[in-house]
Amino acid sequence: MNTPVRIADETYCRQRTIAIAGNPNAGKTTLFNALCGTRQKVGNYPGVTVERKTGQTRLPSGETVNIIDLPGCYSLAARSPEEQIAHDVLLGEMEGENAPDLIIVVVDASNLQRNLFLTSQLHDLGIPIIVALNMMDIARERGSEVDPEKLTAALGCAVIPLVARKGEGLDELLAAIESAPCACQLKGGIPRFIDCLPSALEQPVQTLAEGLIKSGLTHETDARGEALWLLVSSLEGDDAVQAPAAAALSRRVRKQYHLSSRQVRAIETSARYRYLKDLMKQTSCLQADLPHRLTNRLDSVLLHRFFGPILFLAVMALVFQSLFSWATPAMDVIESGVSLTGQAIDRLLPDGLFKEMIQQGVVSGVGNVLVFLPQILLLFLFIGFLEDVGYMARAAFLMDRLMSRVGLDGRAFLPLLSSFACAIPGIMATRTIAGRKDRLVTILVAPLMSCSARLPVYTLVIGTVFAAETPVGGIFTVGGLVLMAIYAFSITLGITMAAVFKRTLLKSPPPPLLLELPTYKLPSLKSIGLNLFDRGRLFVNRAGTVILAATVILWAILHIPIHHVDRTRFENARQAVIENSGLDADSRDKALQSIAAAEDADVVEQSLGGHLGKWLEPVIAPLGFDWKIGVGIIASFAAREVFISGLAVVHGVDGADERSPSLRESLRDEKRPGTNTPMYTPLLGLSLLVFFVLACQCLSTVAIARRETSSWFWPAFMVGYMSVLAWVGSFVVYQGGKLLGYS
Amino acid sequence: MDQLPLGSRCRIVAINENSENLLRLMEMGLTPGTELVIEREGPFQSPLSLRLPGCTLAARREDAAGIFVKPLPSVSSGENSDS
Repeated sequence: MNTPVRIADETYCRQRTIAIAGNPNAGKTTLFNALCGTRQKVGNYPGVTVERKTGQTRLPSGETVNIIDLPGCYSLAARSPEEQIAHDVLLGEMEGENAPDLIIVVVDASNLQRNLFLTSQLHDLGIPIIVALNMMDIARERGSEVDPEKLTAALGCAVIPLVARKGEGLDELLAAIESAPCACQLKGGIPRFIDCLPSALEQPVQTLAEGLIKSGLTHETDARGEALWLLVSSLEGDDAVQAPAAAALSRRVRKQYHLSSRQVRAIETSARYRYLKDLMKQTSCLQADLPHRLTNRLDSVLLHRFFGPILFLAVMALVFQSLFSWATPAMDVIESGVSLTGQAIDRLLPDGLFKEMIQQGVVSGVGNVLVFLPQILLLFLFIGFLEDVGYMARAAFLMDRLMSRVGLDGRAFLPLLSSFACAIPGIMATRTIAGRKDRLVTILVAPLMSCSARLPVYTLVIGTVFAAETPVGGIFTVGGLVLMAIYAFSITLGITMAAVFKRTLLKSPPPPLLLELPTYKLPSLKSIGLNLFDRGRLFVNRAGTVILAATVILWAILHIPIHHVDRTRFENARQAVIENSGLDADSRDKALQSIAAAEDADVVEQSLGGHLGKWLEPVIAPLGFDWKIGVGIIASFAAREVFISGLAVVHGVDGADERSPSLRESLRDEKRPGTNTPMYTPLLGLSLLVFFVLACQCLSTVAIARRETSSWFWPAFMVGYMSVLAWVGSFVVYQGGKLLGYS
Repeated sequence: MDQLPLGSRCRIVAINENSENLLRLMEMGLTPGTELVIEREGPFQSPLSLRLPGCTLAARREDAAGIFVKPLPSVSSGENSDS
């Protein structure tokens, strides 16, 4: 059969790809969500951690098109990784990605001139675009006048007015996409910026364009656009993006006219703005210049010199408190779910190593993953809300001076604060930081902030070695003061290390402040909800698998004996207890329990973990630690609070938590080997506390750092530097203390 | 520009084009000829918030020192800062 499909042009059948570009805050993501709904997925661009959001939508004709949501950018002269991605995709330079067939530039109608800047740059390169004139309602309110038809005529491309938030104008936009042919060409004869360059640029651009055509490096039609782009963007030593031949040519031309690329960029930018001003005049567009009344009023409080910072701290306190306490009920539910599942498995499977692996490895591994979800979702609920209403930009504004003293971005504050609850959501939240190096510094120091999982360890150690309840100065207690000192120490070290990294390994100029303070607006629940869903799913898929695998491996290390454990000894002891008729049921149970605990302790001692602990002993002995603490430290990689149960198991204490008197007593009774002096002195306690403040014993943190940096180097470096720091810190405390005469 | 008191209205005359930060601010709309109001400042005197027609931008005081402006009489700026 000769169906028309067979003779149809090949390009006709291929699914078209449409990219959404535009300035930050112009409403790209809102439009993307309105077009794609839930038919979207989030991934990463190869090699970088910039998110790649893609989706699909169906046009009225039934044609399905792919849609990419690009990171926001102001100009094609990209500098941050996000802008670089936007630039690469738009110009079809992205590896493994076809150039989009069509670009929708989302333009904020209330700030037309600035938003048309990018549009005009794309225009110069002959890239097919549709302008989506967004936020028409706000623009009208603020005194803008925009005539889409006149703009269409002046720009030579479709201009569709819409209000993406309310879904107005979407049908018209879809129709415009529909009618844009595959190889959409701009209407000729309409002067673009590139056709009326200022005299300072005209000659260099023309010279380079001719050079490019002569050496066959470009087509005749787009030569001038490409020439201008080359002159602007090839910063000295930054030529990797362009073909070397073209870059060399552009360098020669710049030399000939005594222009630096920065000068070209400055001239281009101001000339383009002038050109756009004229264009707006011609099309009788009126720039909105009424300040947004509500925004102005809110800012006079929220950015007030005194009340601004106070309110900011109040907002942060709320976020922190919620992570610390509101997440707890949900986490408790997950934990009891895990223990219920464990019990169910207990009944289903026969006794043995396999059952233990499923119970203690797999089920608690899944629990280890899920238990982070409440905090992650809560944090991103707050971030999504604050970002959406426009407060995050204000927070960065308020924190800029303070954070830039350290060398960090103002946006690093919230991730670091969240890390006091848990470094996992904290590290996930570093995505708002623009500079790659600034973001890495923040990720590296986030685990130094004392997370809530360390709290049980602190409680146990303080309760064991100090008279924690002794009142000091009426309202404080010794325990409380030590805890406060721990937090102060953790903050000091975090800031110090950030400053050190920023000046050495990740040396980079202080992050620039490039911040727009958008007008306040109501949050879009749909966007926040979709974002939350993505966050949760990404965490479970990507980091979760690593955490699960690591938990199972850790279980095996600690529970599979590599040497023979003589179980007959315990069997005989059990037999003896059972046969002893002088015991009542209660004390018999107790005796059996302690035998089981002793057996567990023996298994751990004979496991790979036990051997590692002993092997580790010479390394950690200068810190005052014995192999049992070594085993605890290894166990705590699953999660820091596991240190307690790990320590309890090697000490043969059954079912202990940080407050159980039995574990504290057993620790207090522990003698230093070969002597009769107690092992757990205040000095050892301090050494142990310092170790736990500084060491990165958390597989989940490593897993999330791996995901967020797309490399194994940085997580490995993180574990490395924190372990060194922990060792040195504890060494100084313990040996220093001994020198001063403490034991 | 960093010398002007809060609430001043001014027009940008020239910008130091050797600073990457300032080039970026230019792309965001701070081009010669633009009129703006220096609205507020952050804690510790920096950053400044600048109201342009159509948007409000932030700039550090040290970056603002590279922007040269001509002060304008503050007409019709009834709705400006709280200082």
